[in-house]
Amino acid sequence: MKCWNCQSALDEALLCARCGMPQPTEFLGAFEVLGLAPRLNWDAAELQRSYEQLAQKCHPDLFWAHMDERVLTAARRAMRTLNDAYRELRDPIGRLRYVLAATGHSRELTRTVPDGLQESAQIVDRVLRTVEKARSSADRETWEAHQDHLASLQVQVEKAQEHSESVRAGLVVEWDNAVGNAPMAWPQVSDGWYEQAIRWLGEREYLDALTTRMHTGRDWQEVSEAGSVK
Amino acid sequence: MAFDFGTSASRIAYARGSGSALVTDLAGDARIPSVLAVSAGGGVLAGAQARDRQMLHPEHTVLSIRSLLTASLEELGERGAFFPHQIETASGSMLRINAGGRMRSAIELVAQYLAFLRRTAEISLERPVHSAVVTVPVCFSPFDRQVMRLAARMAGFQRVRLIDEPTATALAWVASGGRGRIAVCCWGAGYLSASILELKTDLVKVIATAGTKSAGGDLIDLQIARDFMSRIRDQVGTLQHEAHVARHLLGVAESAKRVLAERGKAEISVQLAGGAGVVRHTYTAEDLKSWLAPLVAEAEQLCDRLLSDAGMLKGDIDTLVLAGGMTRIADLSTHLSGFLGRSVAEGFNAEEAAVLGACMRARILNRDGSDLLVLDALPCGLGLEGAGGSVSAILERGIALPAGKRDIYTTYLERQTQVAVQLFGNEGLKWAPLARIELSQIPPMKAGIPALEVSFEPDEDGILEISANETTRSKPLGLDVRPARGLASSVVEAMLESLPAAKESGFQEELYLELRQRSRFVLDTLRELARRSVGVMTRDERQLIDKKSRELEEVMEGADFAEMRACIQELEEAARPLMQRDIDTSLLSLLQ
Ligand SMILES: [Zn+2]
Repeated sequence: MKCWNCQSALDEALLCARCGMPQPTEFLGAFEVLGLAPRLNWDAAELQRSYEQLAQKCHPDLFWAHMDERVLTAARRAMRTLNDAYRELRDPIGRLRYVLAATGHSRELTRTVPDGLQESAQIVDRVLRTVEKARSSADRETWEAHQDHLASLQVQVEKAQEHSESVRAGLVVEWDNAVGNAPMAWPQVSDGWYEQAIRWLGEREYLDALTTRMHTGRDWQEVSEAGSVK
Repeated sequence: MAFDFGTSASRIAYARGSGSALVTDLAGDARIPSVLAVSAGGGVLAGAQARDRQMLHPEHTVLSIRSLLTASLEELGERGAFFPHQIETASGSMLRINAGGRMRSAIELVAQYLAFLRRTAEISLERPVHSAVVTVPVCFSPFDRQVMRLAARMAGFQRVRLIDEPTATALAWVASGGRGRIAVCCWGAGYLSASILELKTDLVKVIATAGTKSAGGDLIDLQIARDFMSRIRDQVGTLQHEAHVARHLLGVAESAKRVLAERGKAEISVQLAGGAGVVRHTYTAEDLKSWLAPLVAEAEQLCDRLLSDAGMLKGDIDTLVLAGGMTRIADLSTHLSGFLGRSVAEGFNAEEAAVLGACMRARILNRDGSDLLVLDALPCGLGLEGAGGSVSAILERGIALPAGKRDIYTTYLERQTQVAVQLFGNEGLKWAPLARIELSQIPPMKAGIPALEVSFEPDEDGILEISANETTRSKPLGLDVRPARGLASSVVEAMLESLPAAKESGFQEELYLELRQRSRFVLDTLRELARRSVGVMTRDERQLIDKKSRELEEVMEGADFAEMRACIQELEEAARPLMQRDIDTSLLSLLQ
């Protein structure tokens, strides 16, 4: 690829190393955009620093004075790519999800009940349904009668969350070890790693959805109307 | 140049030396009322001069010009005599308002007002002004912003950059040394806008932002004026010249609101003509409290949403900065401080903050002594309607701008050539329809085969660029965007094309033309006023106005710029007592 402005050959980067012009780099991966190794374990401050340093070089406001629509458009596209990349990678789960998507594993994702909750999953769902119905029909008595049970179930779910975190830590270590000393190249990991990661993400989504339901179920207030977003 | 285009008043600033300076109007005032008067002949006057003459023809003088962009037909229609203009919506989107005897679209009126501001800057600086940073409230949708930018282009600005009011205010705070995580609330006559920002030495980042048009101070003025109007009616029965009375009461209500907030009590009294007595009523702090209650509830919701979007709790911010007329009501600033868990920053010129901050952005854009970078956030989340009518988010509220997202659609009929997509936005918790997008010129194929790729790309101003392609044959698609509020994409294109080309020469002539036009408007309206007020003018007054009018008429045709400005100013000063009295006497004689 060549720089649209000075025609010099481009490294895989947002900016031309020679003339400094932002590049419309929509085909770069998120890690490459940020100029970072595809590791899963990143310090949030370090990611933010990389993002902000690049933003300081390619935001369209920096090129307003050029009075050239081409430069502005290139800067806008580069900044879009940068914003997208940072949004995808800024939180740990987003990074794992990105790694799976970027290696073609995202389509296999389904919500899965974690092992530790297999037995109580049906009970949890039943209690939640009862509570949700009580809330929507403003039946405070029934709602209150189930709160203790819900609280004890919440403890189980929190345990499952903790376990889930430790599994994630293991996945991160294995991946980052594979990245090892070839920092800009994607690592080779076993199929088993991908299987485990996909399962983990499915469990995580299940747990997140359950946690949201539990929080709402334990909160006595007007039920938001259908179509609302949060 | 920076333009803080407010609901009740506007301000203009420009970079001078290492700081900023304010532009003043012909009367030497930096606060320029957002009022536009259109005469029957199509002549336009705005600002203080338009405001001072509103009692002559309330139906030709439009107040709070900016809020026309977001008001609905129902909201304005409900105001009755308090909005004495005929209104309609053209093709279901942009409002049209009768001013000066002709229906004009809201964008046209806003453009005329912005052109007035541009000319005011040019007259003051005696140099052409081609680019502008213009403030907007947070709740302006991507399509409202598009209308605003287009209006500025129609007003003669070649290059336009928008800035959210809280972001502008935050920049002024940075200039006075502010750092850390701050919340900014801008609460004025039309809108409440709030943001949480992170301020560093070289970077300002909007973390979360929220706005509403349901908490503006104009609503309180309207309540007071309405209440008093019904008291007058109780005493005199039917009213003639309702629009005049209503307009007078709006002004009275505005000051009553301020007095109420300061002293907890305000008396309004109007003497009726023909010996019908006096209508008098004292409003109390309780009245104000009950009127403010729904606005306070709205503000609380907004602050909760802001904190939750930012992932923060009350008290997590370091500083709370307030700006806008409503925040001078002590009760309201106490409420805001309670909702956000932080006391209000003191010693900050809240009046001029937005325009000075906007001026700082102008400096940043011109690389003029500032290498601060401002990262704005998308003020309203965007979503698309999927199968079954549920809306799924494509771009979340608060993400950094510019942003972008592609979505793929397909056909469900054989050889289908058109597909419609419904775009939704969420400013609060609920999805509201933003626009209907029609894709056409789809190559005829089997159902489900075409891959219709639509890109939704908000730029750094928060204006949505939409494009569409059929990717299996890489063919651009026909695209028609019809916003629920705003202008259809085809209309925007046509209007952009019909913009006059930038003129390089003739600037001086244009300025003379503008000044002459303003002089003529001033003279014509004063003549009309004088005819009406023969009985209440003193001899000295008439002689002075007469003398100053003739002086203006003489210099008008000449070429002495400064002299012309001075003459207009002197004439305005000479006529001000009369104009003030005319408001009162016209009311007295009309109330029969
Ligand atoms: Zn280059």
